[in-house]
Amino acid sequence: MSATTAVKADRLGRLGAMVRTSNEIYLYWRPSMPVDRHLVFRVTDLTGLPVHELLDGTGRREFPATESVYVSGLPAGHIYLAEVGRYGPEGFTTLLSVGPVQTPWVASADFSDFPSLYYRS
Amino acid sequence: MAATLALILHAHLPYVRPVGKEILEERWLYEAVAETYLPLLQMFERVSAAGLPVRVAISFSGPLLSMLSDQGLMARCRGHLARLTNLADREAERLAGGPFEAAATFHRDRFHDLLDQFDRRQGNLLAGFAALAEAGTVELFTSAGTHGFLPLLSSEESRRAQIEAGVEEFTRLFGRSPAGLWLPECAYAPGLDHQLAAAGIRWFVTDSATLAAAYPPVSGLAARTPGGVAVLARDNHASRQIWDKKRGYPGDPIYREFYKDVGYELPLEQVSPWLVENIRGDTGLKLYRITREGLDGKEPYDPAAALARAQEHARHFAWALSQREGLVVAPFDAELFGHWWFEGPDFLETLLAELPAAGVEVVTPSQWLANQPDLPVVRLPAGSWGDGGDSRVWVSPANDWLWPEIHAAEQRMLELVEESSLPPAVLNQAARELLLAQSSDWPFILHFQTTTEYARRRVLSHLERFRALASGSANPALIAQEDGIFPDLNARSLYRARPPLAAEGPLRILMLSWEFPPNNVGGLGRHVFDLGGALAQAGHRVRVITVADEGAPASEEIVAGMQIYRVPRPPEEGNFLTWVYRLNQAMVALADQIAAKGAEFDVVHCHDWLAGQAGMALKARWGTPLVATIHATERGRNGAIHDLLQQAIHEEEWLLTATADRVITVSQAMAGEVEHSFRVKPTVIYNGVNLPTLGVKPPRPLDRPYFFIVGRLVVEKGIHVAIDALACMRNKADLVIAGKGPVEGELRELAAHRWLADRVHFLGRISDADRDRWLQNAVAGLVPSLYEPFGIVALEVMTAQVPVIVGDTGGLAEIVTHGVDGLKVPPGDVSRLAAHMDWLLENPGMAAVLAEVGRVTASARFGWEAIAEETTRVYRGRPSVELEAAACREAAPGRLPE
Repeated sequence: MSATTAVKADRLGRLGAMVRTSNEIYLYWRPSMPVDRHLVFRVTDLTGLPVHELLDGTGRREFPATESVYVSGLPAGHIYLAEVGRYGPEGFTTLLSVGPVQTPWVASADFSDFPSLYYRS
Repeated sequence: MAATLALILHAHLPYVRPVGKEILEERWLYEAVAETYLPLLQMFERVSAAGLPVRVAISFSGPLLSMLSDQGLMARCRGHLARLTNLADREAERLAGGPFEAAATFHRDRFHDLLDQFDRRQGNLLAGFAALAEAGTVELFTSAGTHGFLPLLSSEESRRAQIEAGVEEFTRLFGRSPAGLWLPECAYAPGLDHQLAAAGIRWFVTDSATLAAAYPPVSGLAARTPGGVAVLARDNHASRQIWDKKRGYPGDPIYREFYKDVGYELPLEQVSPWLVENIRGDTGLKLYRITREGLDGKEPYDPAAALARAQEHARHFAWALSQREGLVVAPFDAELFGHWWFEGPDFLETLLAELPAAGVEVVTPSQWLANQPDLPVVRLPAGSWGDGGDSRVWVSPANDWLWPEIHAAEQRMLELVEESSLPPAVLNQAARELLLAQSSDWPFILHFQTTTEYARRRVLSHLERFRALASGSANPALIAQEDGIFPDLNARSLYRARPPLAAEGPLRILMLSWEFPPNNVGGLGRHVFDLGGALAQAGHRVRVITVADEGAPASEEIVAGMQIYRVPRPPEEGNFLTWVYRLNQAMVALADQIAAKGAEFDVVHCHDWLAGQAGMALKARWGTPLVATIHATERGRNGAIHDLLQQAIHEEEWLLTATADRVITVSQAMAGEVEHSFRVKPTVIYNGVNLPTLGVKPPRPLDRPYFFIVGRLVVEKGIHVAIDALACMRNKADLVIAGKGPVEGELRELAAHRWLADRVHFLGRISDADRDRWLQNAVAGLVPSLYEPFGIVALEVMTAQVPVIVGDTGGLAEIVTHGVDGLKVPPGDVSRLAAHMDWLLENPGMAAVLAEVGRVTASARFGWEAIAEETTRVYRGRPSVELEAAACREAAPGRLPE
């Protein structure tokens, strides 16, 4: 497994999720057969935190599925599952899911211990 | 007071092997040979000959190793140097007596010296570096095969192939294994450390921001990952002082200007003999100094002044280091020195001479690590040394189109190895094309839009060749002339597929568990003991690695047919996670020792995240399938993740479930929890229980009727609910609690607060015999858990033929059928529990029936023999008996016979 890139392929196509930054994931979707135009990407937060601390306060984000998309504004250090699917009378049906992947958690480094920079004459 | 400096150079160029006519890209190699590799080699030899310590670590990437060891390429390189020497002669003659005389003469002499050096070494630069390494002067190390950006590759196999290709090429050419591996672009992702360790790598370099975000937090620039590999983090200030063109030394106006070269300056007819296809390009003859920003108004280059400035800068850097303490890790692209910063090798030469006087010790990573047995163990996030410290350069709108193509090829490569239908030569060349397509150079160039069309052509060409080879429509020998990297590459070994386990016969099983009798904290140790024993009884060879009691040494013994190995318990200091990592590293080291004595394993089975890192490490090392039983989850125990430690454990559980080939849970409830948390589908294999022989009931230990609880005294066991229920009962009874745990004090206080201090009895930890005595005389056994993955205690109550009341949660809800073989209450429902306790006291006949049916249920559904059989099906990758039966029914539908 990789914490940062996950790809899954089946007869419907190939779905990839790649962690780009601590706040952004790149998703791509390559259907291998004609599919309807109403597919949806869903990104779900599996971090396990209380819901109000999760992505968008609900743990989920959805948008129309296209060939690829950069999903930005994600909390750093969270674990995400990406899916492509559609809504029907029964709710959301997953066609293909990939992941989870994790955006890196971040910390600010303190570089204050080095002597001041050399100033050229 | 002074720093210890680890100076690390990483040498890499994209692979190029022209066939026939000269191509522009091969000039990159020749420029780097003339400006960096040869000058650095000469410089290191001079410093060493002067008796000064060099101790610089230098990595060579796979493409560079392949090119520098390619005699044909080196012969072409020699021709290029000879032509440049000729050009330098002409320029020196042309510019004599003018303001550029000093610069032109300097270059003329330099090219003559380079050509002489090249000939003296017969073009074999690697031999020179190898000799330095042999003498202990420098430490050579490797990089990933074709410099693939590992976190963005789609599979474990692809990352392993990159790592092993780099290690194998290094070993082929230097005759020794590398201790370090330069992660291309310092790009790390959790889990990579196990693959590095499996390839024998002991250290790697990452960016300072990556280590700064480590958990538990670490001070300093070095640590160890859970996989046991040391990580050295770049010191930002020291690095910027050297590579930053605005604030660092190389931007000094005295230094040589990189962007003004006679290849662009001279009239085309004068320079055309030295150009490829008459396209202007760098020759290395650069006659100006930086002077100021921009390309206009430049003054002639003064080699003597530039040398003096480089020496001045080196002395300043040595002084700056003398003002610091601790390890300073300073990694750079090797090509910075000489190629980009022309005076870089002079700077290094003076620096290496000045450091001893400044009191700064210079060390190679391996030398330094040899004296650091107790580095802190930390988890690292993903990161790189690129912009933003992440992957934004290597996956961006300018290059994202290539990743779906590369990922598709990676998947196809695994299928080709699995299918075994292609001849080895075809398969090997397909692997070379895939590796070459994965190079981090292409997305980098595309992102920064330098030689965009070239990078695009290279990726597409490698992928096209890969597809042609995969479809059997290309001649590998023809393609290999151009893409002949890694001549010894063996694709089947590099992308090795694991053969499935035999459907029958005994298996060699390695179990990893932090609990094992007599060290039972919860039910996990008991589970491993019983499961392992049943597997051994069934004829399998079972070894268990666990932890010794506090202060006890490592030991080895045979228990219930299993071979038990105990590693010493790590000292309980610092963060709990660190303790777990140290325990896992000890387990891996012991497993390696066992394997070194000839033991082989068909499967590694780890229990819970506490042994997960060892399981993942052994899977990466041995390639054996990894099975993980998740007995409970951190999220389930706490309702949600509330703090950093819980989050770290949650992530450990996720990594384990994602890495394991198969996941087992001990109840449907736990399966649901694991699926919800980590989106893997576990196989449910219930916990088992040993059926005790019922003899004469032992004497009553208490005169009054009492209810009995045995278990860890933790909140999720709901013991406080039982105390409250006791207070609410209509009838008078006692409550006997066996076990210890962190909430014992609170429970005692609660009992006192409810005026029950004389009716609630705390026994502490008791023997099995005492437990049976208390249990068999109890009105009922209570398991009022709020959270219970399985609830083996309930089974123990049932097999003792004692009525049981359980919390209707987790595995307990699946074990007990209310009113048939026990009673259930909603978790935390005090009044309902009190009512059930009263009912049992008031209906002893019904209680006896529940107890009897309970014993029958437990013995029929939860025997260890069947559980062991089901577990071996999981090991072999077969569906459970139930699923297989369902598949048979689906395949042959019809009515059952009358």
